[in-house]
Amino acid sequence: MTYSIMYLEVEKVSKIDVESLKVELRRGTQILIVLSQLDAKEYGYSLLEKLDKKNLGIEAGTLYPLMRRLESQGLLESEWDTTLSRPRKYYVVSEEGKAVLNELLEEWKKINKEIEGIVGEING
Amino acid sequence: MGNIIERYIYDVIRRLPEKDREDVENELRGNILEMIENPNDDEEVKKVLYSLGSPRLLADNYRNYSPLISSTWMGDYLYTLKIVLIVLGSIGLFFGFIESIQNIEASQIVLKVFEVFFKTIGNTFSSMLSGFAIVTIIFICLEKQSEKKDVWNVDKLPEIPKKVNLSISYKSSISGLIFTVIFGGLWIYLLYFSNMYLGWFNSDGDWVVDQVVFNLSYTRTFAILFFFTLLADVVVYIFKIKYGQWNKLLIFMYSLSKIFGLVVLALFLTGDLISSDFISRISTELSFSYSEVDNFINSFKYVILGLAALGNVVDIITMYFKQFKYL
Repeated sequence: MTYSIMYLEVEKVSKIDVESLKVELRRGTQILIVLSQLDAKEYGYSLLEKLDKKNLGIEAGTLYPLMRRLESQGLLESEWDTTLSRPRKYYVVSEEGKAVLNELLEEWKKINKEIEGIVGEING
Repeated sequence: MGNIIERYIYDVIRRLPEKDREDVENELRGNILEMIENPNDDEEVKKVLYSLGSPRLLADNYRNYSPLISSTWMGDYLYTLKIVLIVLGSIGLFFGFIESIQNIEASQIVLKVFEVFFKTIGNTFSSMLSGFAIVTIIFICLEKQSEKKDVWNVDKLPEIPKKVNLSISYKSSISGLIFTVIFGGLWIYLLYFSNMYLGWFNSDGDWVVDQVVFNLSYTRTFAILFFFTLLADVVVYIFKIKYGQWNKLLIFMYSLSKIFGLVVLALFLTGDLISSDFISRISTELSFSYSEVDNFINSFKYVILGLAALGNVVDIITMYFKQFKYL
């Protein structure tokens, strides 16, 4: 009987698609991550590698468009380097981006503290 | 293999606004080539492209689409849409039915039934489609033109609607099924043998039909059609018993069976139903002219048809209105 209840629970969880929930949870942190890593200029792939080394994996298909979007919002600045054989578009965080990053970091610390409290309650 | 990279890039940028294409194209090409160590390695190129995701999804990310109707308006949109679809669907159903009955092109009775049925359904669907388009366009305009202010007043909160019971009583379904089969069967039997039971009887000695009320070939054709309406009703009852409560599929089946029954009834009443011998006999017995009796019967038939059409449409509308919130 216990076994079948456990089996039902597993079935229920797998139908919810935990992976997509994890992606949803991480999505809110992507802007914070990108802004925080662009204090020095980077192009798309170099930032992708940098994030990968720090285990802050954001998929390429998400990262490249996100950088453009942040640029259009004025949070990043960009310039093309055409002196190389392969032209690269470099991005760096703007002054406005730095201010936003600070606000986001403050918010993140607050959320983190609140969640820690909940986690403490759950773990008893 | 370089061709595949270019085709991938093209498939992305063709979905983007003209002004962004060149910039995204150059940047994306640069990033893809950086990601590939050996451009001649087909497998590696494919792996990199797959890691970027489908061109459609990547383009969506670049465009950062805002929905035509945002979540702020979506609730009001769906609520309005449901009401408009029910109202316009009902109007389309009623007038589509009337129009189809008046302009029948088919010559055979079975084809007439199909013509009227599908024209009525078509009209209903067309009205609903117009309603969908109009409501959607209005909400898209609202979305573009105004910023919805979430101002509300606690005193103006809506009253809680009465909870509608969606369950269908098992007993009523069973008894309904039994009555439908008995009376439906009796009706079909009467139509098929109408020459034996429905007529002006001569009561001298044995009861013998002098003049039959209905044209026999006509009622026999319709006996078959009414059999199919009976079959549709029985199927609906079986599903009522199976599900035990109203759901979307059941309401849809119920509506279709009602419309089909109405179409058959309409064609039955508006065709060559009453025998001319019977009309003559009535006019002789009651001292009216043939045309007076004929007109009276026709008026009577149209009153019955009108009441049946109205009753069915009101029944369907009421059911949708009562239950759409809970389905």
